[in-house]
Amino acid sequence: MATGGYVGKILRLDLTARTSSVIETEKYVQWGGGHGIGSAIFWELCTDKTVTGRDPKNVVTLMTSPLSGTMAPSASGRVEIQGIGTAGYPINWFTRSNFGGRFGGQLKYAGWDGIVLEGKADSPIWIDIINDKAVFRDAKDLWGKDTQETQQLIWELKENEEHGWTEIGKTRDSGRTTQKPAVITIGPAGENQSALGCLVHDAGNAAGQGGFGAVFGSKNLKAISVVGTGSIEIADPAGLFNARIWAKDEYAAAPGQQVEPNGPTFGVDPAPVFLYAKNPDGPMGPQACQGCINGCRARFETGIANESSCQETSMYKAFDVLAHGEGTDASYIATDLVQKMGVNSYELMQGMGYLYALSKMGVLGKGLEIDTDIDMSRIGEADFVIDLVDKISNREDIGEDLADGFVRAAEKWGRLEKDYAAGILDFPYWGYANHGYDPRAELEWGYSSIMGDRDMNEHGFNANFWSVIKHMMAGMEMPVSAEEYAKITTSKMVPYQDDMSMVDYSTENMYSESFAKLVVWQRHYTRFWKQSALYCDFRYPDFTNYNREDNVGITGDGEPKFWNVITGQDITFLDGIELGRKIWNLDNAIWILQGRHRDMVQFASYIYDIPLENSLVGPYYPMAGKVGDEWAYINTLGRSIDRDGFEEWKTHFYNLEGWDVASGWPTRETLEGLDLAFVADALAEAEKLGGV
Amino acid sequence: MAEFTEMTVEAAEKLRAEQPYEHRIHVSLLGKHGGFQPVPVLSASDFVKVTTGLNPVFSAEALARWVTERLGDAELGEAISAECADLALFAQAPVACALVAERLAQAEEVLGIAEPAVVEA
Repeated sequence: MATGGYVGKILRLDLTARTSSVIETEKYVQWGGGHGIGSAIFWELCTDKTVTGRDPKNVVTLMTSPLSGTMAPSASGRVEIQGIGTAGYPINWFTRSNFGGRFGGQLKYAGWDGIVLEGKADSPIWIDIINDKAVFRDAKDLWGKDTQETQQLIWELKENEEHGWTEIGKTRDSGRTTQKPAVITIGPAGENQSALGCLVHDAGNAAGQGGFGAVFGSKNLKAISVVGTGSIEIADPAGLFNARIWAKDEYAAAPGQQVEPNGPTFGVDPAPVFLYAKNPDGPMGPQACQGCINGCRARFETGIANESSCQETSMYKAFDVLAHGEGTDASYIATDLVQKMGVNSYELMQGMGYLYALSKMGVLGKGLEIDTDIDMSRIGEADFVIDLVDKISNREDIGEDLADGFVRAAEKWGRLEKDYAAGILDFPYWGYANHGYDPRAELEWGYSSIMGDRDMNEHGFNANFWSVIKHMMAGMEMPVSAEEYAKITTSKMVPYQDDMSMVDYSTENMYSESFAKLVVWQRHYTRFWKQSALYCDFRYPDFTNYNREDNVGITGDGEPKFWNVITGQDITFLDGIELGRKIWNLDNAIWILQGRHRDMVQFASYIYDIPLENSLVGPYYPMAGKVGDEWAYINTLGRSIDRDGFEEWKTHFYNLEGWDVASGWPTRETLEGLDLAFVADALAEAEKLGGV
Repeated sequence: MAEFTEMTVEAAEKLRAEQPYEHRIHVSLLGKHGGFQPVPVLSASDFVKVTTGLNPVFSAEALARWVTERLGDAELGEAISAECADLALFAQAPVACALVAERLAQAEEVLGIAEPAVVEA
């Protein structure tokens, strides 16, 4: 039943039988949306949770939220994807990724809250969704095409078909639309089931981490196209309109107001941003995900690297400038390339650093220990990255070794332990690349990643790093002191509010219960508000907002306000966080069934053994922290994570979660308290229930 | 800018030599996303290239030590320390880059060669 943001149906696709069926969304509304619903469906439909990501029994969900396709600011355009991935090490965990754009909106307008993928097609297919009709179509003409060619071919095909959608004289409600179908697709990397394979939508929206490109490839699924002409019932349309105006008036920069440099928070970073290291020549214009108030991307006259805005734009800059002394065309050619081939730019960036190290050490090269035809002397040039990405995408040369990621390649080459020990294989947690926010400095990034399933990629506290750095770059004073930052931030962190030590990044505090509270809060907040309600990670949480005199951001007030006017519910900020706790517990139970135990929750060895000196990075990595009794923006470099200290921190974490501290497995009491008795039963049957 | 004394051929060759990977230093680049991206620097020439633009930052102390101990140029190391001592973090790169570039140009004049040597680990 369509009500309050939900359109009422989830499309269930059996790729093996090429049949579709309907799941009533109502059954899962208790899980909110997005990740919550995805985890609940995965729990039910993936009966053997120990299968690999490429197994036909793997179940994949693509879920929207009640906010998707609405006017909710910076919360309308994202889609959550889940399932067992292919990029994790040593286990391919049940994992998640997320992409922006307009796919979620079109899916809702077509009448679907989400899609469930099961089985494996016996030959390449794509899914063609128009409103309530889903057709399995032959993808032989698409297979082998890059992501942009694929979308172009689908658009041309739809344009030429006699569906009457663009005929003059027809109305929207009779089936006319001016919209191009929204397509999510894999490129050659996904087709060849490389763990570096991404899902790409439009020009620059990608679900990069997790290795879902390989999962799609393993299912012989090239693309999903959707276009719809329906609408979304909003519980309080006037309330939504007013809430959006409220958010703009209260938290966005006023016209002409000087915008303070800040991290990823609400109301900053006016569009468009720039590519690094070099923009394509010619004019550019802003581009945004559906419903966003901050278009953070650009479109260029050349069309090259369109809509790329994140790390993929700087993926090649290091080697570009090493080769040329400046950013050149090679940087944006590389950016465009990973979008087209559907390759995870984070893994590739850190992986290229590893290959460079191996080549300089005389290990990798033509006729060397790791033999390759790739000319490593060309690194930094466009032809090098084209050759490397081509070999990865097609599993040729070392691309075959890299098909399960750089960590597994290092293991295959017999180098994993020694290259971890040397600190040259910068993949600190679960086989995922360092995000640039090293666990030894920015503790919450590392702790949250290792307690989860992947590089977490959540910027809520990281915004503080960016805020301080950007003010330094601009030669400006921070608008708030570290103490004020800590006070404002922790006042919003219900139910642990006002424990300011939660954001104390000092070495003295790095294993404390307070710092465990921060990570617990972050896991619960993001599981619901960001990954289920689908508020954009670049805008929420907004702790400190320098557009306002009091510097207090929208978080805590904004998230439930939009949720409630759209759904007609009356939940509090804390209610959402508690639902996040429940979803997080369900995810953790899946990991336990896959083999998770406290003992294996460990960083790569260099995180413990090599201090992150300022000669390695930085030299200044600022976060809020205490020096004695005084707050300051402290330099968090110069330290490593102590093994015993980390064990102490894990014990705090497990205690706060109500999980058994010896195993890291939840207790029945904890699960039943979250209305998850069925999860406790499953863990008990597997003899993996904590506290037994 | 510092006034450097004349270089010997041996000193010039050492200054221009590419260091083994294990003796690299790092310059961090800061883009919009992804935090600091540490770039391995194996030679004085690498340093000049990497510090030309893109918000490069580095430890001036580590650079001075590296220049002194690995590239054998105490005079350049002292100049880097002195000139960068009172500068803000993001203001150090142009100064250090100019110093290293100047010394490299001097070395190239002494040697009159283009290709860098490689030293054994």
